[in-house]
Formats: sequence, structure tokens, C-alpha cells
Amino acid sequence: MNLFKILSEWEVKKLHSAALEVLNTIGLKVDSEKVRKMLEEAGAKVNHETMMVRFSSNLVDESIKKAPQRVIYGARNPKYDLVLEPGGDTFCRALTGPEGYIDLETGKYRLAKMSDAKDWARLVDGLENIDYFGLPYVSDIDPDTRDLRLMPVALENSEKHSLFQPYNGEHMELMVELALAVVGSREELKKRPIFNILTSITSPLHLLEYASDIIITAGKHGIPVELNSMAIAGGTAPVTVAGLTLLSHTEVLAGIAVSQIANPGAPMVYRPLPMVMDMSSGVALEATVENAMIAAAQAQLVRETYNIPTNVMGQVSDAFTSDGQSMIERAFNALLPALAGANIVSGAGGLEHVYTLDPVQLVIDDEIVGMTKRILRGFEINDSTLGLDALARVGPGGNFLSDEHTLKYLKTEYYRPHIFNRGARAIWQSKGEKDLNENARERAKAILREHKPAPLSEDAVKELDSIIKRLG
Amino acid sequence: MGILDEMNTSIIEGNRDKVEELTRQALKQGIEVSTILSQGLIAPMDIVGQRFESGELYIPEMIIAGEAMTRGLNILRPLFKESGIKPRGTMVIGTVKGDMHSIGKSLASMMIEGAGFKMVDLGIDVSPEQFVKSVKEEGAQLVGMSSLLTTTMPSMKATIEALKEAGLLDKVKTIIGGAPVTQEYADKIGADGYAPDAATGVKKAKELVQVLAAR
Repeated sequence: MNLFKILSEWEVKKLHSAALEVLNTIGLKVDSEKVRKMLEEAGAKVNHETMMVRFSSNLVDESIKKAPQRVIYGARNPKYDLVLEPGGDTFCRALTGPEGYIDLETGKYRLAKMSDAKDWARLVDGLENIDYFGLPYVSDIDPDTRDLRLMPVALENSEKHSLFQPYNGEHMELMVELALAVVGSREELKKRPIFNILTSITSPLHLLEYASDIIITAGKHGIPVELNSMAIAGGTAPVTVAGLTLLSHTEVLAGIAVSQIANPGAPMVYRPLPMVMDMSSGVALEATVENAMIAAAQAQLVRETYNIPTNVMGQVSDAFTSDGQSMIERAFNALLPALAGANIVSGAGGLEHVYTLDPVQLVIDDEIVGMTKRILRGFEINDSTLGLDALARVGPGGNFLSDEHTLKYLKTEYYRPHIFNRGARAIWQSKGEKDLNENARERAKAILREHKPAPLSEDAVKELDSIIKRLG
Repeated sequence: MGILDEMNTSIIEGNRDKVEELTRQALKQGIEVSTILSQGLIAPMDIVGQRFESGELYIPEMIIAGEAMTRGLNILRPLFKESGIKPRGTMVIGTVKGDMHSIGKSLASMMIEGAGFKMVDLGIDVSPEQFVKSVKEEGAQLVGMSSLLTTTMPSMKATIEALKEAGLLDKVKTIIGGAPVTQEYADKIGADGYAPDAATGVKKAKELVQVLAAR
């Protein structure tokens, strides 16, 4: 199957050279003096007074080329390890970090709680197409150590890879300690990191000290970083689609260059999260149809230039509930970048930009991702799949129902959603005329009732507890 | 078209230079400062607010209208004292402690200024003490607080408590706003007004100074 190219060859070249030009002529504001000095030594032009750091095209190119093209996201259970590589599979990450939650029982919005974080991890664990996840920012624990307190919840309630957002370099170190409680050795953690972290450039073109600390500390331990930019068109980025594409691309490249200058070969994932300011409300939108185009463009752009792993937003919506608007937005946004070859398409379970998680939506997204993965698998064309023999055997007037060819391909050709309503109306009516959302709600409840991730060892739980207790 | 009508059109169109020029011309023509202010500058900002609320105008258009109005206002301001013009009220506004988001707060500030208020914008990361100090110094009737993060919303509560402790709560009214802020939260912390957007902020400011004046 051919990948989708939204950009022409010329457009890729133009965006690439424009990004290098921005870093060469405007540059990146770097708050940390230590990091500025490091970049100066590497050959960047630094003005310590204005904190502006300008990178030659060569420095950016040479630095980013040191970033591995193949990145492993390890998991507590190795069968869930994810290999991010050029031409490899496309994976899905559930949305991380919202404070809002749609209650599974009432269907009403409220702030997320610790019990929701546990449910979220278990749900992800039980859904076959959601590959890894982050947790909601729950309201019922100390907000200053929330990043750390969530980590044991993810590790205890899921065997899959998880993602966290440390507040600073010190918390990054503590996260490594927490992971070591489960993994055992630093070498093993480096080889198959069971978690990765996300941190951001602040748009426009500003690397804050906490973020550079996190990037450099993570690199030292071999923990992959999803490097994020949340440029907002018309707010913190040029208002045009091209301008937004360029700025968020440039910022992520700058962050990756800094990481490679500090720790050559440190695993990095290109992860722009461009947004569009709704000029009526001021809200930063994430699921416009233009977002879908940008995600596809950025996945292609990186694939055709540096070819490091990419993670773009996909199953996203600006809607408040998992309604029709949500389904339209997330289907467009998930499919386009996947077709363009993104390694990870993110956002499953999210509503209201990045503010709310909905377990019902997560179960529906599992199907959207399943369908997306099916599309990416393409369909094979050869004498067997063309069914030439079968056609000859059955002939006019016959049917294929019990032909060996049918039996051979019956279970692998077509994606079968768990929660879609298909078949006869009368049967659907007799089962209570439940719609997609109702089916999803029931599946979510069933998974939470029945699915039990393998528990951590007692020692690991004890160690995690003792680290968390030290936080006070 | 009279010059005040022209000022209206120019402000709504966000033609900054033109508004400055027209304000000077209006003064030369001998139109009273108070008339230029109310009919040439404040009246069109009312229309801008209404058109924004109805979805006809976008935020950037509202901003340049506000900037155009400010250009005219800057010319009139030195003449206020001799013309006996008093602002509709004085409002101290800021993004609360721990929060660095400025766009929404600045927008609200500009729109409320456009309704004839004197605005004292303390910027971002403003501590409760700074709010209290400024209210005393300026003799403000209104305090506007903005927060974009659930983690900094408690600073709004802390500011209201600081105003209370300083004995100012019977003299000032508080308005809060920002993405995560709700009417429910405003009620909980005892804020007098909640404004989900800049246009509502203007309405609340007008209402609350009337409440104060009626006392």
C-alpha cells in the first residue's frame, strides 16, 4: 500500500529549509545558562543577554541525525513492547493529562479522581488496539507531586507501556527510581524503557529551564521523550495552516537538536501538538479538519527528512460529549496522519480538546484505531486472494459460503468491531435498540468487571509505596 | 457623515491611525471632550462588544478595535481633569499568582476600558498583596482576576481573603474569569461576578459599579 503524501516534493523542501532558516536567523530562547553554554560549545551562536540561541543548518542536521530512527517503548509485559521505526507499525496512545472525566455510571462531567486513573489504566490494558497511555490529572491528590503519584497507578493497573509528564528534572529522576522498582536494573530500563515522558517547548520558540532539565535528564537515563510543541495558530503561532505547521515543526526539531547535543543517541519522538485558536471564544482547538492536514504533513515531512519516530494527534475532538461531532472529528484526524506514515497517532478517549477523558469514547476509539490499523494493512493482491480458483470451482449459479477459499480468509480479511450494530433490525430491536455509545458503555463496564492485569510483585509494590511515602 | 460617526466606523474597523486623527480633529472642531469620549469612543466599543457576542466579530478584530479606541483615549485623557470627566469606575485587574497567562486578561482589560473605566493592569503572576496594595492606592471599586489553570484558581480565593482581611471587601466588588473558572466556583469563593468572556466582563463591571453606587 502506498503512503499518503499531502505535501509535494517542493513543499517538503520548502518547509524543511524554512525550519532551518528560523533556527538560524531567529533561533530559540533558552532560559538555562548551563544549556546555553553547552549549545555554544557545540557551535551555536549564543547571546547570553537575550538568551537567544541560533543554530546553523549544519548543527541542526548533524545533531538530529544522531537521534535513533528506531525507538523501543518497553512494557511490563514484553508482548506489549512497541517498536517505533521507519515503515513500521502505527500505534495508538490514549490521551494524557486532562483534568475532566466523564463518569461511566452517570455519563456526566466531573473532575477526575484517583479511582478513575486506575480504571483508565485497566481499560487501556483490556482494549487490544490502544497500545499505551497516560493518566488523567486527578484532583484528589497533592497537585505538586501528582506527576509522581500517578506513576505507580499506571504500573500496577496495566501491563502496557505508559507515559508521564514530570514537572521538573528532579521529578524525572524520581520517575526513573519508580520504574526501577519494577524493572530491576538501569541497563534493562535503558534497553526496554517501560515508560516515556512528554515535555514541551513553549511557543513561540522558548525552551524553559524545567523543560531542558527534563529533556537532558531523561536522555541520560535512556528514557524516550515525546517532544511536544503546542503552538496555537493566531495566538502563539502564525495564523495560517502553513505557518502553524512550520512553527510547531521547528520547535520540535529544536528540542530534539538540544537533546542530541546533550546526549547523542538519546531516544526522541517527534511530537507536535499544533492547535488552532477559535477566534470567537479564544479556545485552542485541536480537531479542526486543518489539524488533520497538518498532522499528515508533519508525519510526511519527518519521514522524508530525518526519519525519526513521529507521534501526532489523531483520535481527538473539540466536542464536549462523545457525540456525532466527536466521531466526525476523530475519524478525520486519526486516519489522515496514519495514512501518511505516523508511528503513533494519539488522543484516544479524549474530548474537549485535551481537557476531558471519557471511558466510553476510549472504547469507541479502540474501534477507530482497529479500523485504522486495518486500513494500513492494505489488502494483498495475488492469485490466491483474487480467488481465481474459487471462482472456477463455484461458477455461475453457485455460492461461496462453504468454499475452502472462504474458510481460509473468513477471519482475517475483514475488521470486526466489537460494538457496532450490524445485522437485522429485528434482532437489534429485541436487544433493546442500543446505540454505539450504549454498547461502548457496556463494554467498558464489562472490561472493568472482568479484565485483570497481572499484578506486580509484592516487592515492587512495596518499593513503589516507599518511594511515594517519601514524598510526604 | 459627522466626525463622531466617522470615529464609530473607524473604531469598529480597527483603523488605529484614523481614530487618532479624528480625535484630534474633533477637539479642533470644539466638540466637548465628554461628548467625544461617550459618543466617539465608548459608543462604538458597545457595538463591538455586541457584535463579538453574536459571533460576527472575531477576537483579533475586537483587539484592534480596542487598540484604536485606546489611541483616541490617550489623546483625551490629559484633558479629563479640566473637563471634569470621571471614569465610570476604577478596576484593578491581573492574572493571579502562579499563573503566567496574559491574553484573556489583557483583552478583558481593554474591553472594560472601552466602556469608560479606568483600568490598572497589574499584569501576570499578581500576588494577593499586590492586589490589595493597588486597590488602596488607586481607590478602585472593582478587582478583576484571571486564571487559566485549575492549579492557580486557589490564588483567586486567597486574593478575596486578603481583600477581606484588609477590610476592603465592603468597598470593592470582585470579578473572576478564565477557562477553568465557573459560576459555581465564583459562588464558592465569594466572588461578586463571573465572566466567561471579555464581553460579559464589561457587563459585569457596569452592573457592579451600579450596585456600589446605589449603596
